[in-house]
Amino acid sequence: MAKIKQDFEDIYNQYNILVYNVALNYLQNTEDAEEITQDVFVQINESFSKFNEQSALKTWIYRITINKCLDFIKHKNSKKRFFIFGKKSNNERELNNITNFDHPGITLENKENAIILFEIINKLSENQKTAFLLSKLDGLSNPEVAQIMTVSISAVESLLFRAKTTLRENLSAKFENYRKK
Amino acid sequence: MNEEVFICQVYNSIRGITKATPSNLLFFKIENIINRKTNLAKKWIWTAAAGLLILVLLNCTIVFNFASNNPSDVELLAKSIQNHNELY
Repeated sequence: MAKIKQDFEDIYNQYNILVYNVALNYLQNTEDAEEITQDVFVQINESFSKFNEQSALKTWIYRITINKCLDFIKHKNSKKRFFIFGKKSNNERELNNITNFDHPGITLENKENAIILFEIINKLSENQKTAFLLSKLDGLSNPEVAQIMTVSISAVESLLFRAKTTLRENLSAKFENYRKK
Repeated sequence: MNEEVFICQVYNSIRGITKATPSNLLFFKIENIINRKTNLAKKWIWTAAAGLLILVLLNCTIVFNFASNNPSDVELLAKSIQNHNELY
């Protein structure tokens, strides 16, 4: 029992920054990222016995984190839809939190541009967003991204290419709006 | 500002992004959740076990009561034979 506890503590010490930053890149909010980190480590503790070591521990943790983030976004979007079609919540803070940008890894001078970029990144499809964030923000290689996403390397290349094209198109559209102002 | 500069500026805003660290209290929060979940699971296991035990005891009580109140078929047959087994 004590050994399991020690193992868990070691895993936490080794991977807490990784999990927290992946969540932060997905959600761009410190509170949400901490919530995801909590959920990820609770799940790691529960399913560690089921981990069959077919993949590396790091890959497994990445997958859990990404799935948790995607579930969290889906849940938040469904809440958002409820607010639009249903009764409006009295708690305005709850509504504002959805788009509350709070990423401590980004410098203050880049914050304004980063908000624009993340707004467009958030509109990408799940797979494109995952490939882009893992590759550009986590600095993983294409084979590593492919292993995490359980797709081929060529599929990752294609996802990255499409993500960059979409980003460029949307940034051009943003520029048009920016110029009109 | 032209379009290309704007796109480059926005695109490069995530360059040099630094790793953030979660709150120091996060580990204790997680440990707390795990302990609470384990205790809750234990509580449910004991509740289920107690429920099962009560069901088994109830079943046993009903079966034994029924068996002691109702004479068996063999007893009934022996009684009827005894009744008709009179000397002429």
